[in-house]
Amino acid sequence: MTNHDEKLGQLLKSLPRERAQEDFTGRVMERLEMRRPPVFSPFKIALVSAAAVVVAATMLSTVSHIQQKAEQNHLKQELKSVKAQYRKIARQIEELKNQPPRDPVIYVGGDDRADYVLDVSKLHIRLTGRETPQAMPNRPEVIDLEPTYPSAGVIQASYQGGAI
Amino acid sequence: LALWRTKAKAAVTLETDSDLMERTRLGDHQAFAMIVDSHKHGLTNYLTRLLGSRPKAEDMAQETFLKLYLHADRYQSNGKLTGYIFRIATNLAISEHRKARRRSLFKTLFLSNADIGTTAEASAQSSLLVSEAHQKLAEAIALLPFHYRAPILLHEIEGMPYEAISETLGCREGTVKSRISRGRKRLKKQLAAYFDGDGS
Repeated sequence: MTNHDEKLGQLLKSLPRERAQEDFTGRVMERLEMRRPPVFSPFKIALVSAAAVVVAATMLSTVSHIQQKAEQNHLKQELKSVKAQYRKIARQIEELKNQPPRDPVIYVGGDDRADYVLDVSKLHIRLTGRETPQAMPNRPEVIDLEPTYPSAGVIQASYQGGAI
Repeated sequence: LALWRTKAKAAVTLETDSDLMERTRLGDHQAFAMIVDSHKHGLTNYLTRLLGSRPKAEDMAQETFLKLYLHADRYQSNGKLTGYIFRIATNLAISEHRKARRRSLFKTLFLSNADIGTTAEASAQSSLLVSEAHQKLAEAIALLPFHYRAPILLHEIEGMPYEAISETLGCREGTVKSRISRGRKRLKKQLAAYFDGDGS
């Protein structure tokens, strides 16, 4: 061993030792308390589980109740709508019943732009025979059909023989 | 007789440590506090020399004991508790060293050569390094690479045998011996001027 070896050995051995502070252990225990994972007893686990079940059941029940209520509301609305429709139809039927009878209109043709109808009330019928075609359908008579005045959508017609 | 007494004392300590660890494993805080009390000074001393900073050493020593408590079930009763505690501390120090290197911070945990003068000065002011010789030695230790520093401290200052050091550092006994030898050479080289000058 050289002189330097001896000196180094002595120096290393005589190096003053650092000591931990007085409250070192206390601080370790404090840190341990802060970091320690919570320990659950079986009772706590059971309590938490029961609470979770209750919460889940309540939530399910609430959701189910809300769904039922929504469905009921929907059905009520539909019923209301059907009733309203029924009343409307009844009113329309009543109106139709009370309406004076209309003169018939005969559709005689048309295209995309216009329909051609024959307004019977506007026709001036002059029978040339002694009997009407309805009275004697098998005996055609010559009749003249002339409108009182020509108008849009009404054609001038001239009918000879047979029923319209 | 002296050797026998030492062995008997070691056996009692081992048994006691095992018992205390067993109680700690079961959540006995008092037993854990006893372990902390009996190992805190040695660990603080080791980490102060290893890290070159007293506040960091205190913090890391506390962290070491916390890890010991939280992973008490990993401790095997046939091993010596001191070695186990020092292994946790060394691993923490290595981890911190790597993190510091990765972050490439200006102030790393293990200081670069450029910074060491300032820190050694601060260390000398705040610690027990009253003599110039000890101050020089502390500076020289701080300049050693980590893989030399740890075995030197464990062997020369903490008095650990090679076998225990190899367990603590997780390397072979031959490697430990070689690192201690090289570390000593570096220390001698750094302190040569001092040894040959006024300090001789």
